Amino acid sequence: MKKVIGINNYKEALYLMDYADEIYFGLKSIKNHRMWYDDLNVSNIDEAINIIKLAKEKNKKSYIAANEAYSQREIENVIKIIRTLLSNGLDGIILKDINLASYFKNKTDIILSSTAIVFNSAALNFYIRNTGLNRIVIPQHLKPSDAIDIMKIKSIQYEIFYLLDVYCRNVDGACKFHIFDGKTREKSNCKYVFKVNEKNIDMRPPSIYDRAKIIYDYKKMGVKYIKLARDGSVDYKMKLIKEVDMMLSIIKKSSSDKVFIQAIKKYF
Amino acid sequence: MEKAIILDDSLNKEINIEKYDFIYIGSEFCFKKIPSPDTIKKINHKNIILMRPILKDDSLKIVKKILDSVKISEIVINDLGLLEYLIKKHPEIKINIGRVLATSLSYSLSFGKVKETITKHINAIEIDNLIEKSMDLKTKKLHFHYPFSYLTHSLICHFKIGNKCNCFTSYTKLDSAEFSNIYAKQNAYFLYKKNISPNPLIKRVVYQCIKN
Repeated sequence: MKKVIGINNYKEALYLMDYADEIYFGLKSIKNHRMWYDDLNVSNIDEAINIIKLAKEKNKKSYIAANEAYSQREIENVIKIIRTLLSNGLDGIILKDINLASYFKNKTDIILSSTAIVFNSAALNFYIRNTGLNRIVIPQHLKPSDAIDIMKIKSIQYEIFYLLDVYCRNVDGACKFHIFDGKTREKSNCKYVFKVNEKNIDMRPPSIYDRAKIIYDYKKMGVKYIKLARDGSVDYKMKLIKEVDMMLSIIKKSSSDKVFIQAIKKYF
Repeated sequence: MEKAIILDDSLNKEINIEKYDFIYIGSEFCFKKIPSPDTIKKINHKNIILMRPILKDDSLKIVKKILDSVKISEIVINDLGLLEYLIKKHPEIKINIGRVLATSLSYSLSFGKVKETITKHINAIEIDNLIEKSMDLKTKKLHFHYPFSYLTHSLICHFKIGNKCNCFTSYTKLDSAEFSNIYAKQNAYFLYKKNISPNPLIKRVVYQCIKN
């Protein structure tokens, strides 16, 4: 699997570019799915261009995450900025907005964000026809056993998140827990704890072994890309890169999913 | 103003459905809450609206079979895979965009390729107090769900015990250090808010009984 690494600034790009097959970033001036997080977006267009040029020098692809839905007033500015970045070597856009995709269809690589609500093959075909997408980031909540029909579509490529690090309990792209009722709330994945009759209801993800098994299954099903999210420091991302390399090596050596899980339990 | 009510699996026999112009059944959030054709046929009302959540391929096939076997007047969809099927096979059914899909598409619904491929086929948008703020559509009817506004939901249900559903079947208040007005029902979370928007595009109020 190729590693797609989230980058938040030029300094990070200098550290991490050699470990990535591709990089992606968000930009503060373009609304994206990490807009409520501090420091998870590149500050300005000049810094983004420097990151893109560094990727080009190292023969790596670069993508921008512009994965929200835009109003008619917003979209003109989004298109203008992305055109500038494309003219400086950007390789494509991670998006969910069909209006934005229709402008860039056949002009650059389109990667459908996991924030698009695509959980069946008919919905994916709808997006393929209307966006010209080349790749989809599979939603975190879509289990491999539920993605069999989707992955029969061979005209595009498939990507997953490194789910041991990023796994939101709630459906990405249709969640208001970060901003609602006029206030910005939790600036990270939901960690709210609720109680009913003194019993806790929290938003824990599935166990790390269940999530590792999802990665194993998707790798066997032909997923070619694994994404490390923008969250965390350079040191944290380096730790994750090593984890991913180890996991991919264990998958390669494992004769079955049971052998894989036994091996994973030694290290995680 | 049209009046509608949401019925749950038990069909809420204590509710006098004759008082309402429209009856909503099914779920916008949980794919396991699919009323069978027999259940739908038992409801003695001329305007039945079926709500459907995000669908995986297997649940999409089940919904298609139901639509082919019972007569419903409107459907609430939260999945674009189902939209295509309805346009081709059931042009007689009015299509409403549900609150999950409306949250995802939000501002994009009002112009461009989204308007051409999605919005033009739509009868109405289902909204609530929160979704209304992320829409700028001026030409479609709005159906206002009240008093619970959609916040989020999970497809990896944390209410399950083993393979058995164990979620709240009625709106249940959650105690929290951060919030005082969050409720859960099925696999979804809601904000309780009593305001009814004065938006003139709202043509229907969809009541959610706190006990259902």
